[in-house]
Amino acid sequence: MWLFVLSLFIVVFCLRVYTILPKEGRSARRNAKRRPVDTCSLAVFLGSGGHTGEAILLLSSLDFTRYTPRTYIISEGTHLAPRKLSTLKPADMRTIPIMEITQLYSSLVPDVPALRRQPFADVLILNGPGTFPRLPSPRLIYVESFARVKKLSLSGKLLRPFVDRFLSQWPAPIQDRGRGECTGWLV
Amino acid sequence: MAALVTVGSTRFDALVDVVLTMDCLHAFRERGYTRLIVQYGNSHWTQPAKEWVEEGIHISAFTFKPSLLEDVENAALVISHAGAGTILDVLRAAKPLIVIPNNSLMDDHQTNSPASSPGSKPLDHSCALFRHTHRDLVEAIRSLEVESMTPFPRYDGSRFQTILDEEMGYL
Repeated sequence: MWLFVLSLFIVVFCLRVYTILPKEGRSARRNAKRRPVDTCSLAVFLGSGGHTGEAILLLSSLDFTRYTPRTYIISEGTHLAPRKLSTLKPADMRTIPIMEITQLYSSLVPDVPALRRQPFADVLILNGPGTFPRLPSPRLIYVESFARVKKLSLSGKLLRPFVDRFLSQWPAPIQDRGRGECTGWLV
Repeated sequence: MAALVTVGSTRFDALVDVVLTMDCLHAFRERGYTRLIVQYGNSHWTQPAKEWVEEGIHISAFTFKPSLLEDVENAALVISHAGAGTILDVLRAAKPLIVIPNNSLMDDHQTNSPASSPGSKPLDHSCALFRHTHRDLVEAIRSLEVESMTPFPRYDGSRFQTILDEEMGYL
């Protein structure tokens, strides 16, 4: 439990560093218009059990010719995730580089220069709870789980100030007038 | 007619125990169920067999399967832990659902889930029926009125697509 909390704190710290340092570059990219034919690389962090299914459903409606390539990041201990991934279309599976981060908790010292390197995707989607990004991406979109009706998850609370878009599928968790928007059901 | 009990990827001894009690099996039979399928995951298993007939109900049990969707399709009723993935799968299959939050999980997060909001507007109109504890499961099975339920709204994938397109500069 302590390792979990410590990891989360360090992750948030890394994100904080990342969101502050390359501020100008980020703002420039934020307003960049894309043409309909442009592609956009996407990464999604798959958390535990049922949330994997939720994240896959969330992405299933996207235009996969536009959002390509897609990287699925699976954390250690997510035993059901690869099986759930296999429910995607076989044709789709070939285009997905599946990245297994088996030592998510191994490095507790933030490597700041590494955060400034080439981003690994244009957008990183986090579907909480249980999602801890340690990898840089220009855009961070956090989608609170459908299961969170009244209160945010711990991941949600901690990551709320540090992501570009914070989405809740129910009104109550963000009624404190903090950051975020209620989008209704996305899955 | 089959009922499916699922604990997802977790351990939920209390739920597995209660569905196999005489009271619960009677309630199933009263409501016309002849088959009970139990996906018990990492829960303890105290029965001598994985497949047997008791109180006129054919019971079969297993730990995990790659996908439960087929079992959900074949079931007339699903009794589930309050996992988001399972709830979504069952709601989309338009099956009656009884949800039992698993209070033993981290941060007690399942009592915070849709299952804990019996009065919340949207889910009142869905095909889900929610119960707080495994103790009133028998009563829930007895009083279930499937006919009065309306199906959950269809999945609208365009919402997230629009948000992402807007965020990434396509709109």
